Amino acid sequence: MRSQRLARALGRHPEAGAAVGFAAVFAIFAIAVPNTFLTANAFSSILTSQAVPGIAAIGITLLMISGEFDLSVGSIMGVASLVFLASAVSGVPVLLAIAIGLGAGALMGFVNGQLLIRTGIPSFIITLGTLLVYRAICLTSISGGRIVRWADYSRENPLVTLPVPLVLLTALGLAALLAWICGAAWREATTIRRRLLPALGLATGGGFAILALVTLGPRLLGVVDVDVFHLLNGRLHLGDLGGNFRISILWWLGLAGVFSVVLTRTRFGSALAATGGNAAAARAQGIDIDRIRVVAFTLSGLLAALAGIVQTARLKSVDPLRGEGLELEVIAAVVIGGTLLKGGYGSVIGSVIGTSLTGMLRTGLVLVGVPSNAFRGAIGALVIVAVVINSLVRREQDT
Amino acid sequence: MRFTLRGFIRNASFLVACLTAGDAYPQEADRLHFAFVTHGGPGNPFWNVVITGMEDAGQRYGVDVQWLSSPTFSIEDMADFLDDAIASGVDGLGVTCPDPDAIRENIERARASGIPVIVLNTADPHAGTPDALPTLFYVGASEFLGGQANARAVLAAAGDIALRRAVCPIQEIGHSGLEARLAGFRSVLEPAGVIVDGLTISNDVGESTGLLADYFLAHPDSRAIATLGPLPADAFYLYADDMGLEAGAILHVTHDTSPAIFERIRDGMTLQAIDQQPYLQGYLTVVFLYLHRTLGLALASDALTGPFVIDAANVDLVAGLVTEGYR
Repeated sequence: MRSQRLARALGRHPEAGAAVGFAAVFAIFAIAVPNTFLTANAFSSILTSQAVPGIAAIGITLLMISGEFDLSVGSIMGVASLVFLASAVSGVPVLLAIAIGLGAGALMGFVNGQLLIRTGIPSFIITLGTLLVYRAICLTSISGGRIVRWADYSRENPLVTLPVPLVLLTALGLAALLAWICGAAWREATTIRRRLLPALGLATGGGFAILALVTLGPRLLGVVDVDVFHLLNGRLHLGDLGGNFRISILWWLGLAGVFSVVLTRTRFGSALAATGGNAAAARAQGIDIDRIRVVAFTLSGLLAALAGIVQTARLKSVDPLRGEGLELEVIAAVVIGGTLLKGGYGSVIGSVIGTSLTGMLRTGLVLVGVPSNAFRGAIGALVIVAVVINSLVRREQDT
Repeated sequence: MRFTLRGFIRNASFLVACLTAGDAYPQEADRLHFAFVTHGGPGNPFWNVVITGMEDAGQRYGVDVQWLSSPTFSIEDMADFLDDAIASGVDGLGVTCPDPDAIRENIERARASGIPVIVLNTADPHAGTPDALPTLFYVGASEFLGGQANARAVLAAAGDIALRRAVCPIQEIGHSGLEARLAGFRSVLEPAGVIVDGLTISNDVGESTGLLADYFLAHPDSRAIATLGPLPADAFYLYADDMGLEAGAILHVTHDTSPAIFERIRDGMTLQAIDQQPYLQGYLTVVFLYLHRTLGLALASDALTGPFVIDAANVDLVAGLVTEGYR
């Protein structure tokens, strides 16, 4: 009786199955290799390597909820990384290069969306085509073996000199955004326990705003040099904790928070789910489903581009195969996270858990010492186990 | 007559090849004419070095040479290109052998018409068995010996420090050339009492860096790494920089070359890199075909163009020659 109630409570959330699968896999590795798995090094390795696919997975989640697929996400990431770095090494100011890279990603996503609504061909096929077409852009502009490297252009990371008021406004804006998200969650919450997390978020946002005011306030007329690569994906020094934690993790979790709110609290979010759940009914409600689909594709392209740029800030190079195979990893993570392949139902938080779960499998299997020839097979088997647990939890909900 | 796109491209590139060859070296009746039919082509910088070697030797020996391949990569087109070459009455052939059965019929026909065939770059996997293609010999690198050379360098650099464990990350599991490099590395280290771990990585530098970090976390006693290509080497460099490793803290050897590998050989992070000297593969194939055709000479064994070791002593010379297109 009690377990049924627990299952039902879990089942109300799309991400519940993934969370249970996550806990199960975590427990397996924590018991098998406690000395290496339960360390800051292992956690940082999981989070750092999953931040980039994690950012791309947010876009794919939105898209899959709207009932569509984007197999070209890895190719978009590759082209956007290339456009960004090629611009930066040819002397374009780095912030403009970032904008060009993001624009390229959004444009490729937009093209995917337009092809879909104008031809009516399933997005699986359309984006299978653009996967190859976009990849060819990379392959022809940097022919085999060659790598575009920031190091060939400069030994130093690019610095941008910004006036303090601008930095202060951005910091306060971020704090306000966090407050808005947590405020929405606070109002939604009915019990004290559920208000704990939003309260924590509000406190963090407030603290961040005060910190920004205290440090930057006295120097209001000055300028600060911002290391752009560090801001995108530098190392986070967490005192005695150690480990290779990176700023990309904050981008990933921050964006997941923002888009989770967009999905659950905005009209666009409900329109996405309505489009994916039942297109005819959505149209009857007056939702412009074509526009929703194009926006979802464009957002997915934009986020894939951001993932690529964040990654490039760390690797400082782009090779022609950058992002190849990302689509399968990301789609697997989103499905593990509880988003339905057929659309209409899903969760960004679930995708964060799903992406972490695939990263945890990879790290855990290396720590356990699975032979290299069996490595991919073991990942595949564990992915199936995780999805089975996931669907068992969901079935409890339906009965 | 059936018209296909592939056929059209093939004929067009054949025509272009004829025209450019004719342009560079005016065709005369008594000049020898050799053709190279390969699975890779001028779309890839690696093959451009082989082509430069072929053209330089052609000029030096007064031979017309011709490169027939798809611009990037195709094993399927090789049989058709071989037909074209045999039909045009070439005096000698250089071929690669990624899939001997795809070209067996053509090679046997070339042999029957008295055209000598030399295998370059990628050896006939059946060589030395009754299934071998009827060719003269092989001009190319030995991946196995390359792996062994790297293992010996690691042992020498370890010196008095007891080396108990090493890792060889493999980016395309099942790839015969990479597996041969790994097998060579193992064949020297394991008898010396060193455990060699295989580790599945990918050509994705970010993901591979994470996997290397996981590996070294699980095996802190592992003190040597052999990467099998430039992208895995990049992944190791990223890991080393993240961890703030000093040069020599983990002994690193690698296969193939890249600007990053040259830099890290200079600063001591990498002991050495194994090169297969693609220029020699193009150049020597023309020389051996010429000597066979004019004097009936042939080597009694394969001609190995690699492993050639690039280390701190010669890295500047090699890096300069890369810029000039000879390596």
